[in-house]
Amino acid sequence: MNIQEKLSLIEEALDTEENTLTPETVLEDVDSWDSIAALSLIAMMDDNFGKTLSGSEIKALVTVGDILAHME
Amino acid sequence: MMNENMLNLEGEKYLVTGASSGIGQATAILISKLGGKVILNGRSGERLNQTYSKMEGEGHHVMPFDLTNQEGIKTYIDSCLKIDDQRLDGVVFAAGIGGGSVLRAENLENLQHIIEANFLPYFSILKACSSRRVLNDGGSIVAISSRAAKNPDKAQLSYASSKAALDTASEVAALEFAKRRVRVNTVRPEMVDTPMGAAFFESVSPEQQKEFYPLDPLTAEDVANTIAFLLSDMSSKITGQHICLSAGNDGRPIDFLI
Repeated sequence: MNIQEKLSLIEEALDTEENTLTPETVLEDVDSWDSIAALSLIAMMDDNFGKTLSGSEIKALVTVGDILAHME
Repeated sequence: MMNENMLNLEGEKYLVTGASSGIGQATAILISKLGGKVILNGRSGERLNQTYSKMEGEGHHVMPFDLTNQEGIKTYIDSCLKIDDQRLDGVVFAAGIGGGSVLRAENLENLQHIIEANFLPYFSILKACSSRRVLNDGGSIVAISSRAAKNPDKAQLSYASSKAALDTASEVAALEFAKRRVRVNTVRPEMVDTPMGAAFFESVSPEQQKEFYPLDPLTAEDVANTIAFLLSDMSSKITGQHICLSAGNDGRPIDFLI
C-alpha cells in the first residue's frame, strides 16, 4: 500500500475531504479529529493492518505522520 | 426575518426511499413543491416514474434500487451523488412493509424478512451518512417509524420491533452526528390511509373511525407535512426525537382486528 492509499484511509476514518491531509498535518488542527474519529481510526487499523491501537497510543498521536508510522 | 418562508427547500437535495407510494410518494411530491431536488428510490422504475410525473421543478432523478441488497447500498448511494455531482442535504427513509401475526403463528422467517426490509437498510444509509462526503453538514435525516414503536399491538412483534429499532438507531446517530449539525428524527404516525393501511380502514365503520381519530385519519400528505418541517430549518434544534402524529387517538389499541 503506497502512502497516498494510506492517507486516503486516514481521511476516510477522520471524515475529512479527499487530499486534505499530509504527513505534516497536526491532528489538533483537524476539526473532525474527535473521539468518533479515533474509534473509526482504531477500526480501520484493525481491519486493514490487523493492529489494535491502545488508548495511550491514540493519545500519543500528534501528526498524521504518527498514524502512518503505525500503518505497516 | 419573521416573515421569511423557512419551509423553503430550494437547492437542497434529498434521497427519498420508498417513493413509489404512500408516505414516501407524498413526501417526494411535497419536497419538489418546496423547491428541493429528489432522488426517488424504490424497487420499480416504472412506479417511481408515476411519482416523478406528479412532481414539480427540475433536478429530480428516478434511481430504482432494492435496498434489501445490503452489500450494494454504498455503491448505490455513490451513484446518487455522481448523477449530478452533488452531496445530499437529507434523507427520508420511508421504505417499509407491514405484516406479521400473533406469536403462536409468527415465525422466524417473517421476523427476519421484516427486519431486512424495515431496519437493516436504514443502518447502511446512516453509516453512509456518517461521512460528510455523502451528507452535507447541517443535513437532516427522517425515518418513518410508527405508533407501534411506542404502543405496539397484538400480532405486531416483528413490525413494532423493526420500528422501535429505527427509533433507537436514530437516537444514536443523532448523538454521533450532532457536531456536524446533522439532525436525525423519526415520525410515529397512527394508521395512515395508504395502501399499507388499507386493511384497517376497510374494516372499521365511519363511526368507529371517528372514535379512533377525532381529528380524522391521517393521510400520507399529513405525514409528509411533518417530514418537510423536520427537513427544514424550522426544526433546526430538534434532533433524536420521535414525533407522534396522533390524530387525536388517546393511545387506545387497534388490536380489535384480531
